[in-house]
Amino acid sequence: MNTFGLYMIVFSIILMLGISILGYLFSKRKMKNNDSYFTAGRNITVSFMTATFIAYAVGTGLVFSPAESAYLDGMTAMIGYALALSIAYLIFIPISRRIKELLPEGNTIGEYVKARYGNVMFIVVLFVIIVYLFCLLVANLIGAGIAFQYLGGMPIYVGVLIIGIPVMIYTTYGGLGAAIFTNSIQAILLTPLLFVVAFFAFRNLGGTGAVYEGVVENAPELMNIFHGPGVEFAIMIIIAVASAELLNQALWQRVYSAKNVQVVKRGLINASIMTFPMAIIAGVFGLIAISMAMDLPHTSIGTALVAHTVLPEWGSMLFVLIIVLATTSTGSDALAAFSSTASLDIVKSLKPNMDSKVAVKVARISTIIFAIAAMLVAFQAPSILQILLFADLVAAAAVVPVIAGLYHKRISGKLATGGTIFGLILGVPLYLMGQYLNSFIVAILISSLIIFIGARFTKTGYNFDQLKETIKNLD
Amino acid sequence: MESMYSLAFFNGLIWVSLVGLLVVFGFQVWFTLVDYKNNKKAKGE
Repeated sequence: MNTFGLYMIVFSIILMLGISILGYLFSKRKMKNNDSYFTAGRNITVSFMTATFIAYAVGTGLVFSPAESAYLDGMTAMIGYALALSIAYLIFIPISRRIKELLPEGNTIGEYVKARYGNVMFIVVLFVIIVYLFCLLVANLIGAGIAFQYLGGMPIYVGVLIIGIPVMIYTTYGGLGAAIFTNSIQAILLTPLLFVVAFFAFRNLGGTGAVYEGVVENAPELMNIFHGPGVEFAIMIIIAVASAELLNQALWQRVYSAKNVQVVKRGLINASIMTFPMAIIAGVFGLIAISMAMDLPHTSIGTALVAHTVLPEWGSMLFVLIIVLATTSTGSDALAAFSSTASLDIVKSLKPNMDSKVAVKVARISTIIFAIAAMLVAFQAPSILQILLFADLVAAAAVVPVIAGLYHKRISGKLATGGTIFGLILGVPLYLMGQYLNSFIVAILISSLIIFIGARFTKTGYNFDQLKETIKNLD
Repeated sequence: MESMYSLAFFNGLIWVSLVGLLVVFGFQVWFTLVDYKNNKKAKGE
């Protein structure tokens, strides 16, 4: 371990302690009943909603992946990534209105699927959600791990544990309330930090023009608007992010936790505008790495290594703190979402009369197990982008059947289950063969064809009023 | 060369995004202050 690594550990621990204490105090003050643990009291306002949607996007997905895509596939891929985040939030606006209208007292996606489609589809969707949340948490922990490994010269598990353990503790105690509160702090700190690091990086490299010239000299194809892999990636990432966000328990939880529909709408519009410049700035670090002809030891580490190379030590340390904040933010979201899924969906379906206090206890225990498993996988450090894309693909197979069930009366549980399973069976092998764009197209197309063609031959329709009757508050 | 991103476009995108980051930060501070005031008012009532 080098001296910088020692400072990384000290500053990160101080930051994590501060976040954990504030999250703990906030949860203690705000947690009035057990429903609050899962939906933050259903009184979140526009400011918190915007901040939490921004912070949700600003995890490792934003700090590492746009730069990785720019480094591998060029500027079109980078712009595609930024657009994907914004478009996903815009598409979620009408759906969030429908969710709030049909499920005003909802807690999870799983309980909706169970009420709407029955037990088999419920199990399939639970599998999809858990795989997604697990990949998300692992990706965030890897982000922290590789930053500590390549900048601080220490084994990957040090970074994983420094982030993983405090996040596990405060999210386990405070649930969604703690995650949302810490998100709002993180979002406010992340924006100026990202600005400072990018500004100084450009200044030290001789301006934006010098970076542009460097890329054109070292890899001109990456500046080509119609560079094949870049265009393919841009289309794929828009489909991938949009599908994943529509089926994201963390976003559904925010809809449930909002004061009203207007709060969700304004929060989503604000976040869709605000995440775009953040993704562009995060992504441009990949192009900077190309312009400097850097040979990256891990494709996901481009952003952090560029910051470490072009900035003075204090600037590089600031960037490490960005990574710590980003990974903490999205990691705690994934954990909070898992805790509600585990307790309210899995355990409650096995024990329907479970007391709400026991539900919270089960949520806490399962969150700890989930976090430990994610840390163990993160020690292996695969590519962050690959992990996130796999999570998105799994979500893509289920997204149309789940969302269409909010609108279309004649989609039955059998059709939804069949559509999702066939989408997975045909999409996953393509992904494993490296045909990423095709895997997403096939997963979505097959699941959609099955449910919509099948619905034409279904005579009975679902009564949406049943959803309100079935899904109630916890307390 | 026609299908290349121009230097002007690259410069514009980066500078607009940098300014955008500042605007985002301004919004966040403003929202937080408004939210704090509203909560204080609600408690007073």
